[in-house]
Amino acid sequence: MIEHQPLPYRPMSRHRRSEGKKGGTRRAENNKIYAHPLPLTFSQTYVTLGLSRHTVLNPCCEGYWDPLTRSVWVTNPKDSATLWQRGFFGKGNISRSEPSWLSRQVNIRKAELSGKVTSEEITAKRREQRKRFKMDRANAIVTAAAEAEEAFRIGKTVTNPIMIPSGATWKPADEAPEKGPSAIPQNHNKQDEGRDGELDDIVDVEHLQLTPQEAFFLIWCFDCLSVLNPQTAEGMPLQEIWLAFQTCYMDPGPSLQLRPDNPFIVNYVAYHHYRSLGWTVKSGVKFCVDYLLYKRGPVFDHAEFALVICPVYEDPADSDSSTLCFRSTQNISWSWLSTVNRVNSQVMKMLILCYVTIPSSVLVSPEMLGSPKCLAYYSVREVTVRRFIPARMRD
Amino acid sequence: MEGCRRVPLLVSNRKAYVWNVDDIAVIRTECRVCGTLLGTLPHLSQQNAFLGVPLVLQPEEAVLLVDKELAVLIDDPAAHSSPELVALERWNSEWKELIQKQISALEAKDARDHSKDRSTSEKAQQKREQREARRAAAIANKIDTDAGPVAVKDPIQAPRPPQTVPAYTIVVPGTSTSFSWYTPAPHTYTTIQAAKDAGIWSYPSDLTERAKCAVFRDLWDKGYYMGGGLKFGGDYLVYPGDPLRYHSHFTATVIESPNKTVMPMEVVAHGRLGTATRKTHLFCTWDEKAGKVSYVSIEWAGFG
Repeated sequence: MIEHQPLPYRPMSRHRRSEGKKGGTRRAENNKIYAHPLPLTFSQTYVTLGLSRHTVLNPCCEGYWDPLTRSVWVTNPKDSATLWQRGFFGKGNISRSEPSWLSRQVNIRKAELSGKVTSEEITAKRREQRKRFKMDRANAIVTAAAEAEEAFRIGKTVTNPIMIPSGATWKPADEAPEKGPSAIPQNHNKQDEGRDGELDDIVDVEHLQLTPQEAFFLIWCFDCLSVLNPQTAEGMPLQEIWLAFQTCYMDPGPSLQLRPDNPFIVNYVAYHHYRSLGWTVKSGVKFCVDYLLYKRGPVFDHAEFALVICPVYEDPADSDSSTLCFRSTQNISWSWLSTVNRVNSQVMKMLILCYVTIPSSVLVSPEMLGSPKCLAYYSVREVTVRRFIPARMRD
Repeated sequence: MEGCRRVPLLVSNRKAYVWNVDDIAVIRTECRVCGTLLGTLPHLSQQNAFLGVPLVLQPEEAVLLVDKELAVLIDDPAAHSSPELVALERWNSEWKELIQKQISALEAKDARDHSKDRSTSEKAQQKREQREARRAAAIANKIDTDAGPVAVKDPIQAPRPPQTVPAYTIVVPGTSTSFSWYTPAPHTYTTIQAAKDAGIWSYPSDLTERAKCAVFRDLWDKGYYMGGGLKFGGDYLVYPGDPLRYHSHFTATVIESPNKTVMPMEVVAHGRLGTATRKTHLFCTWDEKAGKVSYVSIEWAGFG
């Protein structure tokens, strides 16, 4: 029986090739780290006559429900690594996606100790240089324009025009001297003092955040996550979780009546739909859409599809009585659609309008909404949106 | 611009048009308002570039021009009254006279050309006539043999005398100003309110539209030129000078009140688009109580 342990962190890289590693090696490594599409794995116990019996291995992760951030916090590093590596669930709260804060810190310390420049420093330096380049260019343009105007006034042409720097020709005027080779000996001194022990002192302050949709998918479909009540630290039953995830989207008030157009349910319908079809579904807020669909995961390739959820009311009366701040189909303006389409075609993603039909509140009573069984009444339809450019699409 | 003539904006279906090319030039160069050219050529129904008159103005542009006393609104359909019989007859006779003039000028030209032809060479002329006769005979023969016994030759189609009515050009007047039955004066409105009262204009009618007018006016007062910004995900593109000379620096979105919710996704979208198209995005918030527009620009920063 093989016990699957989450593998140690390796910085995820999709397009950057570093440390002389070839793309193929990296890919093979990723294939190993992210071998499992879901947190559940199978063990094989060989029995006689060539028959094999499979046992499901459940990682049994744990997390706290935090209504304020509308997320489930997975604080145990082993659990968060499992959830990330097997199915790309969640996001580090101080990282862009994978919870990599600790390893980034370790890398920075290591680089400091060995006198190397970290990638963050390189980025910062590049940004600083770009800023100076832009200033220089702007100044050169202003000077050139003034010169041209002056020449035009006198009635001459500019004989020796000022060079306007471009990205290729511009060179920093004065390379900061303190960034030179003198910086390295200082770092060597640090190393001499023997501060290697510091690496172990860094406390991991990061946790993995799961959206209510991700968390519910893990709980309801795989039973591999238990959610604890933040006050009592006791496990919440499924019923309670289902209600808690809905109420966090509702206005706090005395009369909390469940409605079929709750954003949690509508988003969950879409999330569950695409997860069931084998896609890795991640938040699309950085591309101003609701979800992004990855074939395998963000480590392997870019998302191919960008998903905009358009709720459709079966009963128009429900739409009128809705108090939830929710962008319904009617509110998507042409200019917004064209904006979203432009943003996503720039990054080579296909825009999908995902229509989630919300059943009439007459059909689905608040009592029925108290259990996930009501999901059977929802349906999903998709429409692909693409801009038509007559001149370019002839052939 | 110095209080002389106010540009007439012809309103039809609650849209303001300019048909006169000189007026378009005045609006663009002196009033810093661009509008959009709309007209296509009659034979190019799919034309989508190099459009011509009329120029259609965005409602904000029209409101600005009227408010700044640079233009007046004219109820164009009402300004065209039905012509009286006398006026119509006069127009008809003028029209016939024009055609006659053209025909006589054409005939005179033909006669000149013909005499020139003859003077070139008598022999060449004879030769050409013979050649044409031969060709005509050959064609006639061919039709006879091809058609066979079934097809009876149409007697009317056979030798037809050449058409004698010479071609002439029909001149369609570009604007109605020359017509005697075009009377814009009683249908001219110098303020937006007057035009609204007359029922030909409705913009701005709500808070969003008032905010758009206010933002447009404020940016115009600062010396900018504005164009439509739908393509770049905003309400306006803001140019530092004439759009023919400059690229736009900003895309602007109008937010009608300081209390309006802005979705985080909107900030993301505009930040991304602005960076990709080298423009800064402006959120322009109209505070109706204070009568002030405030601007917030966003830029893609990227942290760590």
